[in-house]
Amino acid sequence: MNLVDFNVSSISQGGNEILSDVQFSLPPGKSIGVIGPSGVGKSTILRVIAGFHNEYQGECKVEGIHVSPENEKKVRGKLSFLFQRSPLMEDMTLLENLELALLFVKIPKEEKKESIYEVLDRLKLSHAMRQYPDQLSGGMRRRAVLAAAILRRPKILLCDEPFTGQDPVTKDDLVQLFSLIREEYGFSMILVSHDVRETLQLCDETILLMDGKLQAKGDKEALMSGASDRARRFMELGSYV
Amino acid sequence: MFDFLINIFVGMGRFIRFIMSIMSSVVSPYLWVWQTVVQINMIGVGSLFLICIASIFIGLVFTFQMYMILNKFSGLSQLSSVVAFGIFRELSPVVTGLLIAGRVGSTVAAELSQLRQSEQVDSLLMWGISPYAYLMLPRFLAGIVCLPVLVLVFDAISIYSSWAYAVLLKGMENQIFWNPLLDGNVFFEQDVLYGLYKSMFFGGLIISVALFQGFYVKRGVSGMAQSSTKAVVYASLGILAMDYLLSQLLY
Repeated sequence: MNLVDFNVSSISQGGNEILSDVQFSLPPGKSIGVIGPSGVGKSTILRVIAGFHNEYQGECKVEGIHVSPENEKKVRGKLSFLFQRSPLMEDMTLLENLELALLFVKIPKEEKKESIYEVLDRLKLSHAMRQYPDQLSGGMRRRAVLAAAILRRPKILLCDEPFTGQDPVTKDDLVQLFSLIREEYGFSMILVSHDVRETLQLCDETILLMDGKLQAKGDKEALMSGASDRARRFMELGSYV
Repeated sequence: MFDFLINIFVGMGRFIRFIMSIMSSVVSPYLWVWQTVVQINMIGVGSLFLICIASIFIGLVFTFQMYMILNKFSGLSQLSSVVAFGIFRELSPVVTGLLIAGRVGSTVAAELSQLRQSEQVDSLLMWGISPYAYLMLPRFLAGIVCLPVLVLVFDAISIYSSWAYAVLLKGMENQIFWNPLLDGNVFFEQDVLYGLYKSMFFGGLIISVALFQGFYVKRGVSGMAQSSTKAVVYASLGILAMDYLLSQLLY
C-alpha cells in the first residue's frame, strides 16, 4: 500500500483555484520532490496531506486513511512536518522543546530521554540542548527543527523548503546530513523546494508544478522533456546547472 | 447593510465557538496548569506597577474633584463614601480593565499571531498537542484570576491616595475621612465584591478577544499589527458595554 495517495482535482485558497489536477503516490521508503516557482502552491500540497488545508476537491489518503477533520489525529500520528520557519517554542530550551514533541508519545519516560539524547547526538546538538532557540545559529536551528521532526520516528516526513535561507556551505552540509539521517531512520519523504539541484539530489522522483498545474513528473530527463518552455527555463535557471 | 449584519453574526458565531473550544480544552490539565502559573506571572505580576501608579493618580484626581463639589454643599463628611462608591463600583474595574486591555491584550494578540505565523501552532498540532489547552486556556484563566486581584490592589491604593489628598494636603480630620467607610456606608458585597465580579468578566473578555484576533491573524506584519490594534479597541469597547450591562444586572 502506498503511504500517500494524492489525487486532487482542484486546490483553492480563499475561493480562488491555485492548483488543478495533481496526482502522485508515495510508495514506502521512497521520496518525492515537489518543485516550482514561489507561490505556485507547493506548500499547500503538504498542508493538504497534514490536514491543515481543507479547501480542495478530490482525494488525499495517508496509508489508506482519508485526510479529513475526523481523521486528523490518526493521519498526523503517521507524519512529521519539517516546517519552513522555526516552530520551536522560543521560551523553552532545545531539550524542553524536544520533550514537548514527545509529550503524547506513549513510551516510557526513560526511553523518551534516550531517544532525545540519541537524536541530539546524531545531529551534533548535544552541547546546545540547554540553549534557547534564539541562541542557536541558523544551521543549528535547522538541525534542531529536524531533530524535533524525526524524534517521533515518523513513517512520512513532509519537508517544506527546509534549507531555505542558509549560506551555500551550511546548506550543503545540511543536505548531506539530511541524506544520511534519512537512510538511517528509513522514513519516506515529500520535499517541497524551489531548488532544483537539492531536490534532484535528495528525491527518487520529482514533480514540477507551474502555471497552476502539474507540468512533468519523473527524473531530470523526464522533467526536461515533459515540461513547457517556461518550465524548462525554470529548471535551467534553478541551481541545477 | 445586509452583508454587514451577516458578517457581524458570522463573526460572533466564530467567537463563541472559539471560546467554547478554549473551555472544552480544560480536560487536559497537565497541558495548562503550569502554563497558567507562568501567565499569571506575566499578566498579573507584570501589570502590578502600572496598576499601582494609575490607582494613585485616579484616587488623587477623583478626590480633588469630589472635594471641590462637596465643599460647596458643606458635605465634606461624606467625601470618603462618595470616593469609595465611585472607585469600588466603577473606576477601579473599568480603568484596570482598560489598562490591562492596552498592556496585555495587545501583547497576547501579538504573541499568538507570531506563534501562528511562525507555524508553532501547526507544530503543536503535529505533536498531538491542542493549542487551545496549551496556549489559550492558560492565558484565559490567568486573565480571569488576575483582574480581580489587580482591582483589589487598585481599590486599596486609590483609597489611601484619596486619604493622602484629603487628610495630608487639605487638612481634613482623620476620623472624618475613615468613619463613613468603617460605619457601613460602603457595603463589602454590593460595592467591593460586585466590582470584583465585573473585573472577572472583563479579564475573560480582554484575553478572549486578544486570543481570537491573534489566532485568526492575516498573513504578514500588517496582519500582526492589525490584530494587536483590534484586540485593544474591541476589548476596550467591550469593557464599556459590558460594564453597563453588568451594572444593570448587579445593582
